[in-house]
Amino acid sequence: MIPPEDDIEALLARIAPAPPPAALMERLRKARPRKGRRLLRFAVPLAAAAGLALAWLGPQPDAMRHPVDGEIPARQPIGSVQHLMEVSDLGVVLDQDRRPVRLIRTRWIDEILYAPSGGGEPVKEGRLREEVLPVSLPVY
Amino acid sequence: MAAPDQDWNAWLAENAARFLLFARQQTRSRHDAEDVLQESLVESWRRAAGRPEAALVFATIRRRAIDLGRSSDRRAHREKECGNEAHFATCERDREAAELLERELHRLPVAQREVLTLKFWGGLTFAQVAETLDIPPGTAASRYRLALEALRESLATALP
Repeated sequence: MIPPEDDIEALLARIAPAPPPAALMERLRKARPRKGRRLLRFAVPLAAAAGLALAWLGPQPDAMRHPVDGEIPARQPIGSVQHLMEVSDLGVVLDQDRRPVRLIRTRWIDEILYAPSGGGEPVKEGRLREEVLPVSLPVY
Repeated sequence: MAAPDQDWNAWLAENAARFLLFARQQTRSRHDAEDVLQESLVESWRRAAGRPEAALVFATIRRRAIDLGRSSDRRAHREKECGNEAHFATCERDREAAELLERELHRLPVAQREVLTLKFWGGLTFAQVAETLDIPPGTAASRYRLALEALRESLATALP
């Protein structure tokens, strides 16, 4: 049986990052940053040297543009799939008629399918969406 | 207000485990992870002049790990050092599940594992995960979902 995603998250919640070894914790405690007055003596000349180096280097040629997920020109959306990721209870409020309404916040991932202008396989782009929804609250 | 020593030690006690987990995933050896961790914690603390935001620390760890990987030519040495130490702790009852999950986590693509770690154990929002990894928030959320799906499929075959 394939466990649903909330069971996966429940499984993940039962494990926690292992505590650092005692020797490492001791090393980190000793590494506490002190007020760096000594560093100021070197900061100005270092900054000047860095500035000169940057000036000599000049403007960099345009770096190869790496495509970002979903960044494709001239595309037509052809479909979408919505995945509900999180639901959280925001509490109860009164509407304009003074009736109680429960508000829940939902977080979705919308996967939008685009048809590339030059043909080929549809391309998928994920977008995060948040919506606050009212849920009626029966009063007895 | 806590003395500086106490504040630093308290912050370490509260957070070192999750930062170490991420450092271990970003580096190839225990020694590299510990070095990157120490340098990142100190740098982040200095930049924030005190307790830094978790997102800043994670971003610093990632940047330093990438820099270390580029500058070092110790790849073969690092790969030899890759040990079998457990990255997660759990109670005895869940030990088998923890070992299984840890094994499957290591098999995830790096991009998905990073997002899952930052979101789940790092305690970051999707927006913070996106900023830490320099990716769009939607991509962060997609990778998180894909990671859970991949774990679901691999655990379905591994679980009785």
